[in-house]
Amino acid sequence: MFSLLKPNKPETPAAETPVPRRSVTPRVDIRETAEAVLVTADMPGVAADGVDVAVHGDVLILRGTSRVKEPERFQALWREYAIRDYERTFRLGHAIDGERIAASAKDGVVRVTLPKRAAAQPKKIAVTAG
Amino acid sequence: MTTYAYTWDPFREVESMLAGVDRLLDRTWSTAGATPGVNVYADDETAVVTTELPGVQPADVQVQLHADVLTLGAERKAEAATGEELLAERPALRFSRSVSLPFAVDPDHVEARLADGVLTIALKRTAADRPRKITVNAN
Repeated sequence: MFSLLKPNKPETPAAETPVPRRSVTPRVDIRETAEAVLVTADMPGVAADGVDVAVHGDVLILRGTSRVKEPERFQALWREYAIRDYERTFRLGHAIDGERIAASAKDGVVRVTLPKRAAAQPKKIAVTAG
Repeated sequence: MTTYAYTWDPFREVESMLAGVDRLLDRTWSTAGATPGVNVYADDETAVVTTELPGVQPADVQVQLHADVLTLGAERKAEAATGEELLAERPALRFSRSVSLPFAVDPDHVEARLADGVLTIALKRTAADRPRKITVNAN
């Protein structure tokens, strides 16, 4: 679906009447290594300063704010996607160390590293012949 | 209203049906996926085409302009996989789209920029094709 926008009148430029953006759910890949769980989320338009990671107990809320704005004085002729912010909630297992969670953003992809507690990492136990 | 040519893509049909079901379940997925959507904006002098290409490097994007048809191609290379896969929702991104612009553009004044996964292409309309004011004479 597409929509047509009339150009804004000069008295009310687009920048002064911000429309709250609804959030969409970003698609993620989750991988697990021995030391950590890695979450990779597609969030085009989000830079490092737009990423917000909050941990409340065993709940992780990942938010991304897009820094993209519609070109202001332009008329939209064809719109297949809307510029959105992103939000997704995850439940963490007890193995995750909530204090050491790290996140980065590059090329619109946000990566969150969730390190596991030392006790939860697999330990190799040496077997002695006896 | 300008008419707009659009190559039919069966995968977009399926995706919009799935999106309809998601809306019923009150869950909106991001549209950045295997077949990214395209937005076109214009004013009297410039046209801007945008699309979302998360994780794609500038070297893997092709932008071509032939007359008033803009062709976009992009591919996201698979990342080196570490560890065990628990969830894989991000699609392999590989697409090619032709966008038929509703007016003539100057091929010597095209700029394409890829930042934070968003591709923005700015095209200058040819002087001959810009809207011109025509004075109406009383008679």
